[in-house]
Amino acid sequence: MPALFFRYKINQCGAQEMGRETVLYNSLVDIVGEEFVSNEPEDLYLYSCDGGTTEPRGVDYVVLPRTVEEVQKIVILANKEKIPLTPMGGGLTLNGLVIPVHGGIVMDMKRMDRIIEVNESSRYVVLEAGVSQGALLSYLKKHHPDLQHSLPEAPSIATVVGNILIRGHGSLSQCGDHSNMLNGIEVVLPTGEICPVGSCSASPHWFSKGPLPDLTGLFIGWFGTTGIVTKASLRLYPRPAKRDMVLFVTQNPDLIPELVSRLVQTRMADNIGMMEQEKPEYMKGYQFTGVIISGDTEEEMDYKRSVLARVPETCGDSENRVTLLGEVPPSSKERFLEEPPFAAVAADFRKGGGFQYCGIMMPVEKVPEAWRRGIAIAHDNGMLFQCANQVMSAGHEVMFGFNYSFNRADEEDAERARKAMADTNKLGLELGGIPWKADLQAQKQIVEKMDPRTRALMQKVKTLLDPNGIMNPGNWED
Amino acid sequence: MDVYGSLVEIVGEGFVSNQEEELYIYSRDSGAQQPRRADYVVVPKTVEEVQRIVVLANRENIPVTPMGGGLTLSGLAVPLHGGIVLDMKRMDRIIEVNEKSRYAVMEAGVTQGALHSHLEKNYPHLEHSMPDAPPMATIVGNVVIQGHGHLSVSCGINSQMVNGMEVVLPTGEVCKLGSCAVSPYWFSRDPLPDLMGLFIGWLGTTGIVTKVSLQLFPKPKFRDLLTFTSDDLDLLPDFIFDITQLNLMDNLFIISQEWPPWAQGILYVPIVSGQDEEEFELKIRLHKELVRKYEGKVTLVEGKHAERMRAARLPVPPVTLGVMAADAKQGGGFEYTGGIVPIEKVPEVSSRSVEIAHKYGQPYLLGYQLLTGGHSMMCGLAYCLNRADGGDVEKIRNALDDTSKMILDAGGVLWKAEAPAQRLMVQKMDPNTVELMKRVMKALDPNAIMNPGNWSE
Repeated sequence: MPALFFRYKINQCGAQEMGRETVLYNSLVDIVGEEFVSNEPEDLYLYSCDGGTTEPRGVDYVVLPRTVEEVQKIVILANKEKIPLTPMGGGLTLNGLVIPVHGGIVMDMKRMDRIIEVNESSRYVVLEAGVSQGALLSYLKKHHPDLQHSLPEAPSIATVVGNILIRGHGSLSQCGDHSNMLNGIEVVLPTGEICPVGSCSASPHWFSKGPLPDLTGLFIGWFGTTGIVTKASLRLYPRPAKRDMVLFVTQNPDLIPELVSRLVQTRMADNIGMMEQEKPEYMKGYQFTGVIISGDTEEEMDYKRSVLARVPETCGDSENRVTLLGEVPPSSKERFLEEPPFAAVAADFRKGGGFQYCGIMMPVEKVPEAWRRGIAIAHDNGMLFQCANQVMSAGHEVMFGFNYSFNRADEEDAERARKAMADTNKLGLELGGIPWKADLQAQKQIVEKMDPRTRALMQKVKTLLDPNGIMNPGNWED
Repeated sequence: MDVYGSLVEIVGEGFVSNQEEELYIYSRDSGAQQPRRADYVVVPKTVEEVQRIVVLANRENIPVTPMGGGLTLSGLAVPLHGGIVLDMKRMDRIIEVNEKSRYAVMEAGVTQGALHSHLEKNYPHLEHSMPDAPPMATIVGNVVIQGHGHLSVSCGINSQMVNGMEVVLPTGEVCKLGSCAVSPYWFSRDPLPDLMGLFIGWLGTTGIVTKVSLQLFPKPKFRDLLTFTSDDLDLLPDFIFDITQLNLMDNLFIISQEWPPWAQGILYVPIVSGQDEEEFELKIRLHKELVRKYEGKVTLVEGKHAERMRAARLPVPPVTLGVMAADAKQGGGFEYTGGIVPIEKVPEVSSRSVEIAHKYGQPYLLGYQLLTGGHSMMCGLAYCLNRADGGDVEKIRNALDDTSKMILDAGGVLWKAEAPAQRLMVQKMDPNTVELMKRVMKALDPNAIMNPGNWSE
């Protein structure tokens, strides 16, 4: 099946003549060497699907460049041949964002894995686009134990640059999402120019995004449709000697906005998250709100614990209470305090390795309604309700993660998950929220709801940067 | 109809002028830049009026320069090529405060002082990051110049605190950016393609921001500052690293000035706060303990100098270095080069600034602010001038020019740079980046009517 399937896709992207395939393949080999390009079905298979519910889509070539000059040559080639090009980090969005919609070349960045510089005094790291979260974590632990970066709740092979570009968040989301921690980037434009953006465009140092005209925005949140980020400078933060978790329990999601507001107001948290799951049975009906705290001394930690312990008194009433959990279960500590956090703990309970979630960014006050209607959506689609939510920056919004596990070997189960995802995205938009790292369908829903003049501006920017429409086409389309 | 008549038709006679006495005010600021002529000043009240003015300016091919408080001191809202100055001050509505998701939506004319009072009165547990500027500086102005405020160490710089914008494009379309483009709520810059960058740092060359949603933060009940002094400039990067590693301050000022004499060393002024006394005292103690480890190389200042510092720097907004020293020469002139530099470059920049000041016969006047949690330093290298004395103004312009070159030479970049300093930066910038900037400007503003002359080569 694979061979025929991919031939069909090649035809779709316009490469009718048999000769062209060979020419393209040979050109790519000329650029990166034979080992680092493939059009073999067994290699392409891996790039045509991810762990989510997205149905596989054809890929024609995968190429792994090592240098920015190679990236540049590939971009120029893709323009000449008018073949789609999809840059890929860890490929872990679960929403198929780096599975090409119209075939073509997937550019896997993992060989560009150099950590180029750590500046301790000005606390930043400059790295290439293939550097993974795990690699940066180990590097800092070994060479700069006083510093840390905001670590997302994702497998270690997620890339740092990928998470910046999808506006991901991490263990220090109190300081903002990753795109807020950016000091600068190097980007290969869709037309092949290499552009430094940020202080590095006018200085040897990558210490600041401003105070220049902000060009970084042109590449953040665009899902690869405006260029290929090849380097980034990310801010680092003090690594405290101690970390701990304080856990609160409620039985009514209506209490959550007030609880979050009170917790944020104490200014004690590095990070605040919430969850509920219906399995195991004893967890059903309870909302757990976890607060990560940190400090250098036990005195500081004790003080923070004591402040947080007083929060339940200030929330709710005699019928609806917030309870402080005296002892945090080891499983919660493992999931939230370990580095990297053990994100996969709940992902595979249906077996079959399928897991996807709808991350909806929403105002804090919309959380209760999302919670109740989320439960209904899960049940209507024959799924269990499970959510994992994250408070962003200083209580400014919540990423509400509606989780759906499914058996990938069972197409009916996958279809149920797909339906639940679609319903959830619809709910999110209806509540005034916005799906995060939206899949194709959700992107379409967002664009449909978007102010038409904003849509036009988006398309103008895309056309300006990518006149031939080669960059991850099909995403953010009107 | 002539331009004046058309403007009257749009905003009414009371809100447009081409009279010399009014244009005079818009043709200069308090800095050292030479006056430049404005042809019309217009003060719109609504976004539709802004839109109609932009359409008119395109038709007549006349420059438009949007203006907030007009307080950059580097003449950024004084037109380089004449035309219309669009003074936003009548668009002064605070439209919404969302308490739970902590943001305020407001029009472009809302001042720092107005938002501050509104929050104090109605939401006393919330605050916004307030810049070291007169209260009539606008919120939007400070966001679009990438300014900072009194929460810049704990919460970041002000352009990071934007959740959304409404903007009138140079071609007249009104666009919403951020979550408000898709939702009734202005709660987030995420997770859409980031279009807001197109209007941040561009000095009005890409469009006119008419509304903004700004993040608000928990307001602490207790605030105080500490003053430490040191003579050892080379120690600065290590000391800053250690003190920010504590992760306990809201803001950090660094001051060094020739006058008064007690301020000649390096003064470190961290601002700390707490929701209760215990928190607050714990933070104060941890800072003092850190300084004790420096065994005399950095020492705590107490007594009347500490009290003076408290009186000057603790209020929000503080009595700025500018205000303390701005009028030393009489004549009301004051300008500074804001160099944003890596922290390890601060000693070099400081020594060279003192040399430049002395070369021009000026006392040195250095006021720094740490940006975000210890990621870079805004080095304000200031000069006072007598605006009535042309020779003095010229001298200070040259001093500023030398200072800008020195900052760029040290690997820094210039904040809210005056047009000549913008040119220095553009000359130093990677040509591909300059080309990209030009492409963006051309695409948004095909007739080049928006504050032309800025960010040009």
